[in-house]
Amino acid sequence: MEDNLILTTDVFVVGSEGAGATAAMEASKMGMRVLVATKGPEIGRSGSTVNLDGDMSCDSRSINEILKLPGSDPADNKEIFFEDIVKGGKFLNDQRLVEILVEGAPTAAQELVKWGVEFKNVYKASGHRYPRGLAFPGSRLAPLLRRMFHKSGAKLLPYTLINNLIVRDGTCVGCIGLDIATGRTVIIRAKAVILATGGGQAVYPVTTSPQELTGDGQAMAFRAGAKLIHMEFPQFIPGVFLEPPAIRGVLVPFTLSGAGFINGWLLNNRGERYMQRWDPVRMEHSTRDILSVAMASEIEEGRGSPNGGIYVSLSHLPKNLIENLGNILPRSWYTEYGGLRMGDYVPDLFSTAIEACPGCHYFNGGVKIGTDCDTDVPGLFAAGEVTGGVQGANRLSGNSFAEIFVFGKRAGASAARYSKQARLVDVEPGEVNEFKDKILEPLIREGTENPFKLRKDLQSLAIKKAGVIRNKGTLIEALETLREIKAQMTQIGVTNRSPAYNREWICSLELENMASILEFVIRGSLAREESRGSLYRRDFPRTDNDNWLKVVTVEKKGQEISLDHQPIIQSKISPPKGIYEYGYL
Amino acid sequence: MERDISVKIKRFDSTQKASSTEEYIVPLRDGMSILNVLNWIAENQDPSLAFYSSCRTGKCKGCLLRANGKVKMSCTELVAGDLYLEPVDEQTLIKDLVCSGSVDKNEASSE
Repeated sequence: MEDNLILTTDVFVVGSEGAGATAAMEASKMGMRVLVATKGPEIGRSGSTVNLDGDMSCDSRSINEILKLPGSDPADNKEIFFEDIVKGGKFLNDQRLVEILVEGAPTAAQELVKWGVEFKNVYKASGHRYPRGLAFPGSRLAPLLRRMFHKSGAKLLPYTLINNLIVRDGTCVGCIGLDIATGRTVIIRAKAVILATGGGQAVYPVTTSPQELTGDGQAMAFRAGAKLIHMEFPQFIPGVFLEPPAIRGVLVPFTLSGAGFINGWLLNNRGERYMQRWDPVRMEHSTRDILSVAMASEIEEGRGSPNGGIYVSLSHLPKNLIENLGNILPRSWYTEYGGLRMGDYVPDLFSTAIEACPGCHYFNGGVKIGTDCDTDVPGLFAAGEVTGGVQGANRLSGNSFAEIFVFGKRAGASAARYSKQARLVDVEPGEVNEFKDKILEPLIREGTENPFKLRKDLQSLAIKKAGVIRNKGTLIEALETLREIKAQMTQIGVTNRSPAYNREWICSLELENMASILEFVIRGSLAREESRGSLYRRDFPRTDNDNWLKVVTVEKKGQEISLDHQPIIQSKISPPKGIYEYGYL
Repeated sequence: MERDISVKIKRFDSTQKASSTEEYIVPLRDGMSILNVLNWIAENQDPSLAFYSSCRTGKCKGCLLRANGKVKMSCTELVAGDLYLEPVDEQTLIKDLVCSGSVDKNEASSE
């Protein structure tokens, strides 16, 4: 095998999409040398940004003033937007970060327009009191991002998996990973590192997100000594396809029911509209949290479909109404998704019920950041979904689209400022031998375990015992089973030792991170004895503002995971006291 | 309904100079994409097979390949019968079906 690849830069960004590319462009604009690692071949070929179904939230008044879009409402303002976000986050948001989001969104929207983004519609999504969703699909955003990035002077390292940060005297001085295409180790010396790796949705078997979201950023930040927060809050969307395999994870069933565009019914295997028992007033238009918990309960309690879902049915709609739907909604909303043609998989949407289940959609938790996107480790910055705090215990629609651009830029600027006074530290290959051995281990070890099988085992454990509905008993069982899976992971052997683009090897390295993320989710959930936002504990089903308005932190102490509780950070709004039924705070 | 199909894949590894073609027999279920077939092969028959994919829904266009001679996205292409799969661009080939740029020429020209 060839030697290490050793690269030197001012600012190094891990992750290449909305947050990462924006951070890189900003740091580059400030005169820094910038390198960006992506696990994919190019900008826009991996990650969640290209996958966005498209609305960026911004207060409606600013939309009205700046973009003058029809449908925007000047009665809205930044304060109301702020309140909605904090209420949607169930008061766990770091309010200083929410202020930054709200203040930064109009500028970010204007900048996107300069890139060539055409915002034509603004719509009101659930949880927002005004129409704030600037519609633009990720598939059209990604090519613009790609073009702007390549003009910026920042350089891309394609097919690069960074999996450990190099910390010297408590300061981040670089990182190390795998050049996937050749199988060489990559060692980066940098004055500052920015994490922009997205969430950890791949921990769950059914997800709307791409499969490479394996929580690399959160896991390596933890290993480097940074605090993580809100890890107990993975968010589920109530209604993605389970079958057939090609459309697993596609959220059209939600579009057809809960999202409210077409009033599909949610049925259990007895044909009952089970939402009557959960939210008789709002029924299928209840909140995503309640819909997900209700859906998971029906499935768990044996009232699900043969493949383990519930049914979304449109068969109550009369034929002539269906024929007219194309006049009131873009037909593509229910006949296509991305490049998938629904008719290939669901021959008759209007007469046959489709099977759907909750799908993991977002990670509200992640690396704890300050207002400069700084982490607990000097020299290490983070932006976007890899962080926690902006969205609190749950995220409103459109807010991650806004977050990646507002905080990406901020992280880039902060890292650039930091780099100007930071010293480049020599990192000798010998110094990082431990990390290097860890990277090479799965490739050279004589092992018998198959990483693809273990990945499936881990995902199946995650949804069964740390999924939508959690309780102490199953969470503790989950920890035990996870321990067994981790033991098996030490026996992984690849069947082919060719180092170039070795998927078994990549999977083995990602699996380490996935196991860490799942452990954080489980331990975080055990550390919160109530239900709030996207966490539902069956054994503590209420939201308790008298005792649980606090942040669960996860950090490494010695070789152990240490959990703690910290006060919430309030700048403007004080949460109400009292105990609430789940979903009614 | 399940039936067996033949999937021939043109394979390349820089350590062996020439390409070779390998055949797999895959049990095809209704509603499987080429990507599902590739994942099935990797998980059940040959973990060494190299291919790239990300979004699974035809948005990122990272999974382009040639299927029976035509350029397709593996994630959105429903499989109906036997397949012959090749990399999308021999010039930038890294391994098996993985190419370095994964450039979508149509998209590139419209930018």
